[in-house]
Amino acid sequence: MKVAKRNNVTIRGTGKETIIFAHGFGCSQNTWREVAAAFEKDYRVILFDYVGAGQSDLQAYDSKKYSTLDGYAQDILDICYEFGIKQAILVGHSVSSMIAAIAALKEPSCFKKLVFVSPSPYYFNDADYSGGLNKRDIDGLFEMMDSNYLGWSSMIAPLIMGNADRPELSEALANSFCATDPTIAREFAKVTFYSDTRSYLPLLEVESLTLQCAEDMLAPLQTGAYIKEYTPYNSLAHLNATGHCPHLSAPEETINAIMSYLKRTPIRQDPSLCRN
Amino acid sequence: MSQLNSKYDFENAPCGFLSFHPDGTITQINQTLLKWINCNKEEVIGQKKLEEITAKGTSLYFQMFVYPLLKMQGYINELSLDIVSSDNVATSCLFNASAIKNEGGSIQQIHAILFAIADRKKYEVEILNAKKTAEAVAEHKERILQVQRRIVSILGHDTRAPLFSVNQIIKLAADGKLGPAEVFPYFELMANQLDATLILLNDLLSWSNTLFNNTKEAEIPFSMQSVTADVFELLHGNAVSKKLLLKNKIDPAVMMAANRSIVMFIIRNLVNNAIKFTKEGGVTVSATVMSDAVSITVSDTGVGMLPDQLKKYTSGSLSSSPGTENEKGSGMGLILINEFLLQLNGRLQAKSFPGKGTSVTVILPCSSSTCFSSVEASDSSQKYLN
Repeated sequence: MKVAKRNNVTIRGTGKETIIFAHGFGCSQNTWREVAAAFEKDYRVILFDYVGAGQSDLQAYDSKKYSTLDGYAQDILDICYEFGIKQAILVGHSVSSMIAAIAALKEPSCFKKLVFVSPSPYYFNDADYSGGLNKRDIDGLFEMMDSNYLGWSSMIAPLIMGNADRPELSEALANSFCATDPTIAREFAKVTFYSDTRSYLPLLEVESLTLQCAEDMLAPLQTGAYIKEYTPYNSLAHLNATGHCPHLSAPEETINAIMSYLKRTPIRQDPSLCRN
Repeated sequence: MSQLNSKYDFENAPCGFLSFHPDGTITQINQTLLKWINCNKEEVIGQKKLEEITAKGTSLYFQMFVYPLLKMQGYINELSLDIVSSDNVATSCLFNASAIKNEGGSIQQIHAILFAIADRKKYEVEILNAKKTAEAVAEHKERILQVQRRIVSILGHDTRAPLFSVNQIIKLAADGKLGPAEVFPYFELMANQLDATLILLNDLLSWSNTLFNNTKEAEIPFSMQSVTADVFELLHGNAVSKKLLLKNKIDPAVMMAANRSIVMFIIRNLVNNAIKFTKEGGVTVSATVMSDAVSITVSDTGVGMLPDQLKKYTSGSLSSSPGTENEKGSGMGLILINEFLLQLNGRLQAKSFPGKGTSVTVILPCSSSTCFSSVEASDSSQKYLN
């Protein structure tokens, strides 16, 4: 059960099919609480924290491994191997959408459908491509991260990390929901913003859905359209929700969009996809 | 009356008050905060968004951290951010906020209070910088330690073999197994072996000098052409034995104020390497003064490098291989060049065509006072040599 502890894996629900929710940069599996709960009736729901985030085992963090999105994708695959998961539905928020895509490229048999919530394959503007951000935004973000170790203190970290079963203790610590070791947070931010996964999209064999918000500075309308254009078997759904976190700001709408997508018959049923 | 007072207190309280929608649109703001941003109420309410009165990156930070926190725990405390006025004056603040949610649980409005923390912020920045410096020093030390380990291992390896063979010959002679006439031909061989060892030790000494004696060698401007001439004199024998032509194409006017022995070390190692891997033709050294740097290029007509080797070479990880006349090297030259370049903030670029030759350029940063063209320095109309 090493991976279960390392990634603070939580399993709920009793369904036959498995749905995995992967959190984005910044917080932890906590951000999925509301949305994930709605799937417990029909699915086996798996939540986890990437190594370095939430209540994962910080000792397992390795700067080199996690200097690329591949390292994070490996976390998802490790969970699939550990729990014998095949043909799962993988929902990723923000950077986790592209981490999910990488995981599905490496091990297509593990996944049946992918859901990208507020995805972006590249955050900067580049020739014809509009990622939405420029270098000054990112410099400013890093400055703010350096002057705000929100909730983080090496003194209280063990309290936050070691008490998953005693949420009242965590809640006593202000801002602890998103408390992350500042060095790790900085490195994760770097990987997030400097990754360019555009070239992976055309290779994706697993079908996917993009949930696109309005007024999202991290994933503007163009990025959803770009993914649609270059990714085989991708559908695009526009949400009324604004901002970057529809699973938090509009959980109902997010749940409905995911559910109706899951009810649809698979776009592509190709047994050759199943390697095992 | 009491209402008037509370109104007054709200507007001119010694802190900023602010309410805004989750999309950033400002719905309430007090006079204190308006003063910080140098705006009227009418210009702001319903008109401006939070991102227009905060520093770059703030709204990104809000999207990634603050809104999720507000949604999950309903409040956020002690966020450090900069409020920026219409004329670009920043006020560093601490920001506390609570979220007002509607029945469905989504955020309707955010109420925030802001305290200016100019002096405290300065202090924090000082601490942050001190921390960064301390970390950089620790990193530097660790790196030097690693280089030292590599050097010690090369040193052990490369001095042992020649000393061993010299030792053997002396012993044989001492034991009478080699007569005076027999031992004589070995002298030249022994001298050659020891020469190579001496060069290695000299290189090490110059490196350790720059590393441990922080008393900087007086940086008197010297001519790049003369340094190169000195290098050519040292390596004359090597070039002659391979019938190679050494060309010094540096303008005599190019001057540089830096540690002369380091610059000489770098050029000597580059030229030595070029000779080593060139069968015919020659080695040319040239230099260019740019506005903020001087570049020295050593090009040869040698065997060249394959793309893989070139990549390793420029990243300093290429290990030594025998030259065209089977000349041996220790691989130390490249390691030390990279060390020196790090100290000087310089960098190395290389182009190579297999079978045609290699051209290595070292770029050393400098200012117009530390590298210049002496002829044109007196002629202020044109400062730099192109």
